Amino acid sequence: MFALVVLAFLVTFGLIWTGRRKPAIALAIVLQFACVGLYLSHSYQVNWPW
Amino acid sequence: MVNEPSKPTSESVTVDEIPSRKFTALFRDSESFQMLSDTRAIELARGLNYVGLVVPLLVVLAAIVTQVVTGELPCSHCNLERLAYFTIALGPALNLRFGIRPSHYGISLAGAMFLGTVSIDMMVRIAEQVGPAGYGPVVLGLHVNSWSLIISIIAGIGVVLMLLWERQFDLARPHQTILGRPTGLLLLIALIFVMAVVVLALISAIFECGPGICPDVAPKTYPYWPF
Repeated sequence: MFALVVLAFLVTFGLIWTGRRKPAIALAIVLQFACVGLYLSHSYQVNWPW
Repeated sequence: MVNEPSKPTSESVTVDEIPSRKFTALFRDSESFQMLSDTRAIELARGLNYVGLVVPLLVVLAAIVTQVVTGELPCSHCNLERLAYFTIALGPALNLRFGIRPSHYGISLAGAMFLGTVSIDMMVRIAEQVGPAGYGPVVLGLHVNSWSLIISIIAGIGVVLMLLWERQFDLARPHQTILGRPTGLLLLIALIFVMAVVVLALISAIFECGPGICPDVAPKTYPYWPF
């Protein structure tokens, strides 16, 4: 799953190289959500000082 | 029936700004602060974007080299921080390839915010579990997660400053790369370098994490190393 996200970043830079601006931006936005999903999927417990 | 164009109102009257090199022009609507010529300004903007494109990937490359040399595999948050660096570099890549636009800077800003979030989470979590000793390699007296937080703040401030520099958006219009036109040699080299670092990170991710998400605690060896 993580490797797939890294691969998607590679594809995004490839889209930029080949001149496809809007697909690159769309994939970048999707990847942002994927990064947040990966972040939340890790089990962690933080006692934030609220 | 011909629709007449709407007459300009007081809100839509354009003001011709007089270019001026005085700092007071920053506070006057009738003047436009211009220290540099058009050519120098666009060169500066593109140069700063090259810095924003290459520097984050240099950080990732340094992390990968450290990983290979010392044998310390990255933890899950360290891997997430690499993704954030890639995101930060996406904005300048778009600017250099397609012309400078605020939306491209927005992608970098999102990456900077994500990097800051992950590094703070790592620092707080480790501080709870390990104590103030910190986690990870130490560079110039600070742990790498602390450096990531500092870099995220610098990147965020840098993007904000670039967004405030309105002149580059006007100057960039004639310089937009025409879709299909080959990229310049310097940009080509930069993109090849960037993609090479991403490939190295991909190889690392495959050998460490396999098909799933990365382990929270970094393993001692590569679990998916085939040899």
